[in-house]
Amino acid sequence: MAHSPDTQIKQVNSHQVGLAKIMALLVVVFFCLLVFAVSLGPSSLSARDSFHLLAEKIPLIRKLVPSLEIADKYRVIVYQLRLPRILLSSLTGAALALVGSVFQAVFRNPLADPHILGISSGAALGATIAMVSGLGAGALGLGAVGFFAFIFALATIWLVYLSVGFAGNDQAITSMLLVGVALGTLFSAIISLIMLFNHDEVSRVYMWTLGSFNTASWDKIRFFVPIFLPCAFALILQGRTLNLLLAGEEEAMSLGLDAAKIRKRLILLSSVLVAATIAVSGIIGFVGLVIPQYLRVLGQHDLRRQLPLAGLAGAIFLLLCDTAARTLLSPLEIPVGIITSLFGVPYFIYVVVRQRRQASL
Amino acid sequence: MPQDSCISVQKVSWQPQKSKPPILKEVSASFSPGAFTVLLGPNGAGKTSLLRQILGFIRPQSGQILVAGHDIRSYSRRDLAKEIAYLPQSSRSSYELPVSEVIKMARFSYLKPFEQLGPQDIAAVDEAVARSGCEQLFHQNFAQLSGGERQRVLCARAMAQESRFILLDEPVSNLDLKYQHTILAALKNLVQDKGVGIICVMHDINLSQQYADQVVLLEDGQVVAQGPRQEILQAERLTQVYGWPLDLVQDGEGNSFFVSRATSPSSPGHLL
Repeated sequence: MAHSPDTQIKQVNSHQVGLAKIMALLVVVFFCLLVFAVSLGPSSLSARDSFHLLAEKIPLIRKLVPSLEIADKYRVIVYQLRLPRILLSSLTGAALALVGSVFQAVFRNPLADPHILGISSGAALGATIAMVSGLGAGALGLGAVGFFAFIFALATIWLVYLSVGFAGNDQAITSMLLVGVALGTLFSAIISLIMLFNHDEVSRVYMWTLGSFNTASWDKIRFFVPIFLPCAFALILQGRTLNLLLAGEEEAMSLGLDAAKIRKRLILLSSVLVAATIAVSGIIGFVGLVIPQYLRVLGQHDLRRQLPLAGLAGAIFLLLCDTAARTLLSPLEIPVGIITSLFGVPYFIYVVVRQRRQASL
Repeated sequence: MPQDSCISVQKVSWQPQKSKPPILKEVSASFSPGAFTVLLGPNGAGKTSLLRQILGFIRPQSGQILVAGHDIRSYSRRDLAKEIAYLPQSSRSSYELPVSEVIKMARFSYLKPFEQLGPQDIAAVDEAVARSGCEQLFHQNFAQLSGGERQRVLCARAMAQESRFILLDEPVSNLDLKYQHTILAALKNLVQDKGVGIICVMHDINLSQQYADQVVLLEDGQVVAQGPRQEILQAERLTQVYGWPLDLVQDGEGNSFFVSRATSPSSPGHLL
């Protein structure tokens, strides 16, 4: 069946429309989860009430929902506690998954994750220093711990770039990875050393490195969103460019892409986004590694599709994990990093093993 | 002599490491569109390095390269891609993408950010697909193609770039006979129909004999001869450059082939 190439191109274009449908589906799923997550907690709300409380805050839609008597207690719980937490975990999930996708393409390595350049270890060092020195006040709407984590994360990025002379060619990228891993080990050693002299803070530092949203607030959202929006937007739109990079530096260059420059930029944007993420949530592993992997298993290799899907899937995944983290053993709070691994890893291994089996059949 | 559409390499020297001898020594050569030029020479002669210089992957320490009359350094990647396309020996990527998407990457340098392919782009892709015989592969996953099929797809991509020159680094040395000839013939047709210039690093002297219009013969980082194929590909000269005896033999139909002897009289064969 020999199609003329012309009709084939049209078919491929119509194939693209699928993305809009999948995205729409994921958005609907996300909003349902949002309502569900708002209603869950120590003082339970009905789904109808939580939907109402959410809708009340949205202009235009507000007029469409009938007014309902809801106790002020619930308003405080939802607006001051649950909603900022839910939004922050979703945004964080989106950021981590998106950066994971970008890193795996830029480094051409399916094992790359947002923490690969040692950013999180740098942040952890900053957080540790803030904790043991008992600093209270932070800045930018962050507490001292978050603020120090952010500054140290940015400093780590700067160090990594400095080590390769701010270049972005293949050799520089390899060096970056090596320096990042080395710095991560160095910072962990320093943290251990500090812990040695500050036994009292060990558990606090440890809990921080597992990541949590239990201190989520509108202040943190006001800090995070202005970084998240421009970075995430800029990254999501790089699908075509990243597809070219998959072939490596020289092929991309011969196709007209200034590969070194663009890689340098993308790594910088991603790193700043990761730094902001860690500042508000601590270190949450696994999301950035596996969401892109899942998407590839589902056949989403084209980065023009993978990036937006990763953002949405990451938001859904981390919202689910954080909801589990705060409700499963309530009133005990489970660090969300434990949940992401506990629930994510077995399924991930199952998917990998199943895929291998299918491949060998 | 440097006409506006030529690529002119002028006294290019390149020494990647100070402690080691230079790989290119004042190489001068000129390449014109409408010709299939083969870069020939023994291992280490500097063929690939010269090709990479013209692609702008590496920069010379001295000398310059003019593309359409302008120093290659003055080109942005985007503009250079409209002058020069590249077909590597094999792609480093196993794109898990449809072949159609891989070929469409050729149009990257013509598109503004987020601009979709226009009729002109699609026409270029269609023509390249037809020329390289990729119609049957168009919907398949690139990663699942054989080496020969992949090379054909990358050849289509290079053609769809509609550049004045296509540079190739041993494009067929990993392929079997059928693919070698289909790809080289498709390129040869492109030269004849559209006046594209081909600069191709090759190992196989007989394939060069069959497809080249022009030959640039390199040895030890220097150009030892360049010109029309018939003048350059002489048994005596090649014997000298390759350090191995070669004879030119004729078949009954006027075709000539180079044959290398199994043992060289000047080197003790029994030691090999």
